[in-house]
Amino acid sequence: MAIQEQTPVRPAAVTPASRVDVKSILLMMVNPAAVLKQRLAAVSSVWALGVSGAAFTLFFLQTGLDLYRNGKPGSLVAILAATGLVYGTVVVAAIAAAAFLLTRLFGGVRQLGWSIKAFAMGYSPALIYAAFGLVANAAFQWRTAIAFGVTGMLWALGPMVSAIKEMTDQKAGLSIIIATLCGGLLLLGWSLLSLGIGGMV
Amino acid sequence: MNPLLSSGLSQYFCFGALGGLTALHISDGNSQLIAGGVFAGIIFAIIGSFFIAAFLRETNYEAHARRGFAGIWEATNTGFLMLIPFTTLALIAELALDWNAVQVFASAGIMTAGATMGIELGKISKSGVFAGLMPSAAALSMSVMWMVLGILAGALLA
Repeated sequence: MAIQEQTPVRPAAVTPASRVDVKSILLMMVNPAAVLKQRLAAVSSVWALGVSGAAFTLFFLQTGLDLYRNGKPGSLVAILAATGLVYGTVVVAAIAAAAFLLTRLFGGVRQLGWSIKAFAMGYSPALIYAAFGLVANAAFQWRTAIAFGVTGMLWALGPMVSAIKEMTDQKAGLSIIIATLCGGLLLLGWSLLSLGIGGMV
Repeated sequence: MNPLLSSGLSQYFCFGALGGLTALHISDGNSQLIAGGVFAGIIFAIIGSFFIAAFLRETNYEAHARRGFAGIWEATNTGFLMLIPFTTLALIAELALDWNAVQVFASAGIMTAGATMGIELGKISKSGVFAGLMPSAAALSMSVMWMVLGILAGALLA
């Protein structure tokens, strides 16, 4: 009897949901729909929320630096940066959960965990913009919160629409309405928080 | 897709609103100039969308061969749907928060529309990297043109 040679099963070096996926951050700017379909399953929730958390931390940090140059105390920079971290993780996850519930009303097809990861990874362009903005802020003393920070937040609208299209089984009109609501809430939240905290400190 | 969405009407409203917001800053609230800005925005949208669709027809032969100009026109209109959230947020930022950042919203919106056109064209043709980048290049030139016209209008009315 022939002995069947067995191919040894090699254990995966990393589990799919724990991969640190820098390439997805760059691809999210170019083709978010493809990243959501092909790569999101391999991205962990912690990594995805780390992306949005870092993006908003850098964005709020630049807001603090701009206000500091307008005569506000230095402690405001640290307070706003910490607020940005909470905003980019907790608030982004909450907005994603709200969008998930809205899409469920219209026959949504994705799970809550997928929705949070997709929304958080959508802030990849914002992270890239915020990183460049911080360099410009530090090196040239520019005020970069609006020019880089808000621009980055706006660039996240494209991936957000793609994510909601996936969640609603490609309903384009509904996706644009929900993304406008979510993007508007996040933009208003940043504006009110930075004004509110800036006024208090 | 909903015929109202794929007709391209939304882009005329969006560019009209962005033109009106641009004129609002330049003219200090002069209603005739704001109406002129809305009209200029709509004209810009009509010319710009035809320019982009014609450009994409010349740079993506495969998409044109498969679906004709109608397919390219639909991809262009689908891309410009992305202007809706940007225009809505620009209206909120300008009218409710009193910002002066309409060009940031306009340029980000036009560039995102270009990227979306590339994705839509990618669904009907596999013409490679060059053809895939052309919608973004066309959107970049449209975005630059929009900003240059805004600056020129400001200089003329100053």
